[in-house]
Amino acid sequence: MRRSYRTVGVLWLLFAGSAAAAQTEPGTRAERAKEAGAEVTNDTASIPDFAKMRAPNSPAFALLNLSPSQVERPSNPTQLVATLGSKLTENPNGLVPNGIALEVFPYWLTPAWGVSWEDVNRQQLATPLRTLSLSVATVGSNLPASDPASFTDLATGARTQILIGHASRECNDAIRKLGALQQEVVNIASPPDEVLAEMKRKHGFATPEFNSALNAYKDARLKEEKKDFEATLTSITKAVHDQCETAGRFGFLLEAAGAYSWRFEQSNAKRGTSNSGAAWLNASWVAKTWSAILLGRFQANSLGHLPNRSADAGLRLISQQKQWAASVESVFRRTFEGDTGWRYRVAGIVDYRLVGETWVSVSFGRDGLVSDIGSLFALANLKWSFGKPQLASPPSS
Amino acid sequence: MSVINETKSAPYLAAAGADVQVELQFASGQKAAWKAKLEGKTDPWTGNDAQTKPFVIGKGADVKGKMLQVTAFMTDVEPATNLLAHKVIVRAPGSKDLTIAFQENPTTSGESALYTSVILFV
Repeated sequence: MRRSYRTVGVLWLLFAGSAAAAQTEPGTRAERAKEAGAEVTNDTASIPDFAKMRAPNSPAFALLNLSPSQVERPSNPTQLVATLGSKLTENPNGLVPNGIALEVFPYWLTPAWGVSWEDVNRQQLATPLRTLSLSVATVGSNLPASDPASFTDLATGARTQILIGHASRECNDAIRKLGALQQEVVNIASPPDEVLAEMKRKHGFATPEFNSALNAYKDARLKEEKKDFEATLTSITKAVHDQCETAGRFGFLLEAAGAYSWRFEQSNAKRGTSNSGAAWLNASWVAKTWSAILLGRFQANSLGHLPNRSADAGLRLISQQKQWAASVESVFRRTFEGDTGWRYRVAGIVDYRLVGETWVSVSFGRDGLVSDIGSLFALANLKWSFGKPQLASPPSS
Repeated sequence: MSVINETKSAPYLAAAGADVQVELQFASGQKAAWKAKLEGKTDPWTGNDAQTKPFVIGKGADVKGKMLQVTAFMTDVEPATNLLAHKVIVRAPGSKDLTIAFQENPTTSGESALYTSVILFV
């Protein structure tokens, strides 16, 4: 009987899919899943990046609606100075450089002595500072600088995580395995007293030959005692990356971000005016098979034909099971200029696993954020996804 | 994956009656394990990146003529930086501190470094 219900459900989804066959959803299922239906219709496709449900990783890029293919991330002060210097000297005539995409984690620019992995991964007073990132982006109008209508937009942004939840059990296990391997390595690579004394006798102490002999000893010992050392290390560091970085964190998370942009007429650094600004505040609870995100957002735009300010409040719920996954979101918007009535958007997506990695997806909702008329959209299509599914997989399996 | 393999060595003069203290430091949230062994002593000191409280290895007179080796293995696990930096600091009242420092900035994430410091007490 249970099987029959499943079959009926699948047939219903296929029917819905054929009814909406005229619309084809762009992007991969994973991309759509991440945005919980944020790009399911042409109407919603016009919503810029900063209208999505999570605070963006790089607010400056989001404010200018940029997805730069190459972002410069200097990791020390020398690299930062070199990066900024090269950009500023590109335009010696007081022009704002075009094509900047820079992201910096200020806390990590210099060595953070005495800060252990455990310190970074538990909630501390310094957490917001450690997770702070600054972003800078510029984009030009594609017109010659001599054209009076040309301009360059420059945005700066900041993002931080105030509450970071906790790492997964799988992440902690991978870190424990790494710690055990590291301890094994230092035991293997430490020479006995007599070996060290012999090196000192043969090469003299603190000579380049002494240091080289010790390096050679460490290499040889690791090869001799731990033949699979490099493979094991690679496997464990990959597990750490997958479970601690890619899988994200769990529990209660609180993130804040803000960005502000200026427009420079004819790219002239002295002819800048305020352009737009945005601020985000995200509170979320992330569990293994479900998550909830609460969003507060403020946007202001002082350029263009209709300067406006608006505030959004939104909620998104996601459930991820083995056989299916579902996400619903709603956003309410209050605009402070013109029509100040409340607008809203609701959207949802349901994925169902037919067999293996073949999934059927249905999206639905109403978007009334941009225009108060709104549009009811319903879309279903059959997708074959041969990669690991995103929405339907628990975040760390 | 290749592991950065580096050794540095230096002599240190401590007053005979002074406590010789050793401190290890690891930077920027990276995962590490370490072992410090004094020549002639059977029990080494061991720990990880979170266990870096300074420890006394003996009086200046006790350690004179002996070598202390500190082996540390560090792996880049912090996504915000690729820095692999480690320091060994030797202190004794009446003597200038000795600092042996290692620092590498690998261009890719997940790299490891095997650092060894050898100090000869003269």
